[in-house]
Amino acid sequence: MIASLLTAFYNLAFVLLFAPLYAGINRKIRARVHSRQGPPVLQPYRDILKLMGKEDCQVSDDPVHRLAPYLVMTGALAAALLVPMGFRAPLGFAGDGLVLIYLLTFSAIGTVLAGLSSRSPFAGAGASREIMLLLAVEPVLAAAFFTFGTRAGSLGLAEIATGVAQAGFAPSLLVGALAAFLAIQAESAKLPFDVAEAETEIIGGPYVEYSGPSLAAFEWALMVRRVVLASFLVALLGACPAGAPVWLSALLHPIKVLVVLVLTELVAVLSPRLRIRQAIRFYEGAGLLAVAGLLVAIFGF
Amino acid sequence: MQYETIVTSREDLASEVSRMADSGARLIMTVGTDVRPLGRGFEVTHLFGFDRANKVVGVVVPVPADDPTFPAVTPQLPPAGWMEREVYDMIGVTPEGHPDLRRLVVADDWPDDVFPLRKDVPHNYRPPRVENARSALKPTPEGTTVVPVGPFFPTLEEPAYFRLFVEGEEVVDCDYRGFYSHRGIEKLAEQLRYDQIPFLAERICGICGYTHSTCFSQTLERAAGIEVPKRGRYIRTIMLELERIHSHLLWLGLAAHIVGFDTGFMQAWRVREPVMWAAEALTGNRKTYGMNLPGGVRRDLRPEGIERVQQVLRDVERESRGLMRALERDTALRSRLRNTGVLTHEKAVLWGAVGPTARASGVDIDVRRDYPYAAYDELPVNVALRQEGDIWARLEVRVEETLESVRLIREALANLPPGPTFVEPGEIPAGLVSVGLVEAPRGECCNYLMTGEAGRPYRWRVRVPTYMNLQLTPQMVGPGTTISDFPIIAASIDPCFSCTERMEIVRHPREGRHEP
Repeated sequence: MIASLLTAFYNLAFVLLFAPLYAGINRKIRARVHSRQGPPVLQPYRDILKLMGKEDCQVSDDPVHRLAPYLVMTGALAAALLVPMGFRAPLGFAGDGLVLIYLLTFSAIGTVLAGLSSRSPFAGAGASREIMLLLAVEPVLAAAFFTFGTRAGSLGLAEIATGVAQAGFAPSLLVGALAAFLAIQAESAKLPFDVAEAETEIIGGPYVEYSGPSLAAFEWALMVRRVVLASFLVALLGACPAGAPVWLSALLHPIKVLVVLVLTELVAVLSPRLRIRQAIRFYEGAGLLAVAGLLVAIFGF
Repeated sequence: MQYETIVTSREDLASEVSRMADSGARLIMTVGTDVRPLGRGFEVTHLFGFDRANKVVGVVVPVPADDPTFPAVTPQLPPAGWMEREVYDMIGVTPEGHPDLRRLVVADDWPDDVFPLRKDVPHNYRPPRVENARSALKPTPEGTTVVPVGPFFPTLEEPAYFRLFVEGEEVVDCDYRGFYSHRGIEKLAEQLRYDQIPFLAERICGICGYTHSTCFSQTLERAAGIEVPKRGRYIRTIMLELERIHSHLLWLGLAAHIVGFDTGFMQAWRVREPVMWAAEALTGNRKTYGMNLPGGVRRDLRPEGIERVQQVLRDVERESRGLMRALERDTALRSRLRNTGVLTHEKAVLWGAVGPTARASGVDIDVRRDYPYAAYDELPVNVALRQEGDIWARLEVRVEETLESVRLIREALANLPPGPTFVEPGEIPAGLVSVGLVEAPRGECCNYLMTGEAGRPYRWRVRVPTYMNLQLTPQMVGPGTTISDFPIIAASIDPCFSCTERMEIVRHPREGRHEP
C-alpha cells in the first residue's frame, strides 16, 4: 500500500515536473535542425508560468469548455498511474494496458470537446479532424499493444515488460514497435500529423479560443500526455537490460523516454504537414501493417 | 518599347477591345484620369500589350464630365474586373454592365460621393467618421459554412480578408475583401516632384521596392526621352536581380512554413540573409536602397560590395541547389504541392496571370525578354517555363529563376561598363504620356504616367503583379480543394498586399487636416 502510494507520487511528479523539460530539450533540438539558437531549455516552464499569470478570456459559459483542458490533464495523469516507470505501476493490474489506451483516448476527447464547445469555425474544424485522426490511430496503437501482449502472454504492462524479455526477440515485435511509434506520433499531435492544430491552416484548431491559465493547462497537459505516451512505448519494449535491479531501471526510464521523444521530434522537424485525408490513409496502411504483425505474433513469431 | 494610343468612342469601345484581344494582345492595365482641369472630361485608358512586338497600345475612351459612364469591358475580359472597379472608386466613372461593382479600394466608411483621385479632392482630405460601416459581402451559398481567413491570419503578413465557403473540409467558393492598407500613394505623388517620387515608390513594397522606383524612373525617362548612361542601366539590372533572389528565397521559406515544414523555412531564410548583407555592402542599405532617380542611379556600386556579392552568389547558387534537391526528395511535400491549386493554361491566359504564376502554367511571358529595359537588351534572359500549372510548378519556376538571376548578376558584373551612372533629366514638359513595364519578382509591374506642371506628375498609376494574380486566385480553387490547401494556394502567387493596395505611412496625418 505504502509502496504503491510512493510510486503513484513518483509517477505523477515525474510526468508533471519533467514534461516541460522534455519539451524544452525538443525545442532546442528543433532549433538546431533549423540552424537556430533556440530558446533556453527551461523556456516551457517560463511559458507556463507566464500564461498562468495572464487573464483568462472565456468565450463560452459552457462548463465543458472550461473543463476541457483539465479533462485532458486528468486523462493523461490517470494514464500515468498505469504505466510502469522503472517501478511497478501504482495501479497496475492484469489487463491494465487496455485501460491505459482508454484513458489516453479519454484525454484526447478533452481536445475534441474543447473544439466543439468553442463555437469557432477553426475550433470546429480542428475537433472534427481530431476525431477522424483518433479513429484512424487508435486501432494501430491497440494492434501494436496486442502484438506485445500476445508475445508476453498477458495484457498487463508489468507482465509484458518481463514476458517480452523472456520470450526473446521475434519479427512481430519489430512491426509492433514500429506501429506503436507511428501511432504515438499522431497521438502526441506532432508533425506530420498535427492536423488538428495546424497553426498555419486553422490557427491552432481546438485551442484557438483558449488563453491564460486554461491555455497553460492545455499546453502542460499535452506535454504530460507526450511523456505518458513515450513511457507506454518504453514499457511495451520491455525491461532492458533484462533482470535489471529496480534502481537501475528507475534511472534508465527517463533516458529511454527522452530517446523516444527525441525521435518523435526528429520525425516532426523533417516533415511537412499532411492533409487530414492523407494522414488517415497513412494510418490505414499502418493499421494493416500492425494487424499483420499481430497475426504473425499469434502464430508464434 | 513602343507606346501608341488609339482614341475611340464609348460606342466603339467593345469592338475596339475585341479587335485587340483577337490580335493576341493582353490587357495590362486600365487607368482612369480626371482631365477636367485640362478642359476635357474624364478619360479611361485600357492598355494592351503585344508581347512579341515590344509594343503597348492604349485604347483611350473620352468620357464627358456630365455623363461619367463607359461600357465595362469586364464581361469580355475578366482581368479588367478589379481595374474597372478601381476606376469607379477613385475617379467616379461608372463602368456600365460590370458584373460586380462592390467597393474595391476605398474603405467601407468612405463617403459615397467623394472620389479621391478627382482633381477637386485635396490629397489630405479626411472624411467624417462613420460608425459600423460594413463591407458588402457575397451571400453565403446554400448549405455551406463560412471559414474566415483574415483580416488577420497567421500566414498572412498583411491584412486581407478571404471568406471561404466550406462544405466539411472542402472549399466550394470564396470571397475577397482587401485594400485595408490603401493609403493613396498615387494621390500623394501628385503633390511631389519627380526627384522625390522614386523614394515614395520604393516604399510601395517592403520586398520589391527597387522594382517600383525603377519602374517609375523608367516611365518618366521614356516620357521625356532621357537616355540613362550604360553603367546606370547595368547597376539597375544588378539590383533588380539581387532583389529577385531574396524575394524568391523569402517566398520559398514562407511556402514551406505554410505547409508546416519549418525546417525548409528556416534554411531558405538562412540562405537569403547573406543576400541582404550583400545588398547592404553594395548600396549601404539591406533593403530600400534609395538609389534610383529619373536619369539613372545616384551612387556607384561600392567596390568592396562587388567582391562580397560574388562570394554570396557562389553560396546562394550552391545552397539553393542543395535546398531544391532536399525538397525534391521530400515526397510528403511534393504530395502537398503537386496537383494543388492548379491554374490551367487557358485560365491563366484568360485572367491575365503574370510572372511565375503565369510561367508555371505555360504562359511564355517575361517583361525582361519581351519589353527589354535596363541592361536586359544586352543580357538576354532564359525564361523558366513549366506546363503543369500547380504549386510545385510555381516553386520550380522560382528556384530556376533564382539560379538564372545569379547568372545574370555575374554576367552584368563581368561586363560592367565604365562611365557615369546618372544624367541630369532637365526640365520635363507637361502633357507627356508614357507607360513603363518592369518584371518584378512576382511578375509584371506596370506604371502609367501623365506629366504635369511644375515638375510634378498629373497622373501616376501603378499596377503591380499581385493585382492581377490575386484577382484570379479563386480560379485556382478547384473541386476537392480543402481548408488545408487554401493558405498555400493563396500564398503560391506570392501575394504582396501592400503593393496591390499601394500603401504609404503618412507620419503626421493630423497636420493639414481638411474638411470639405
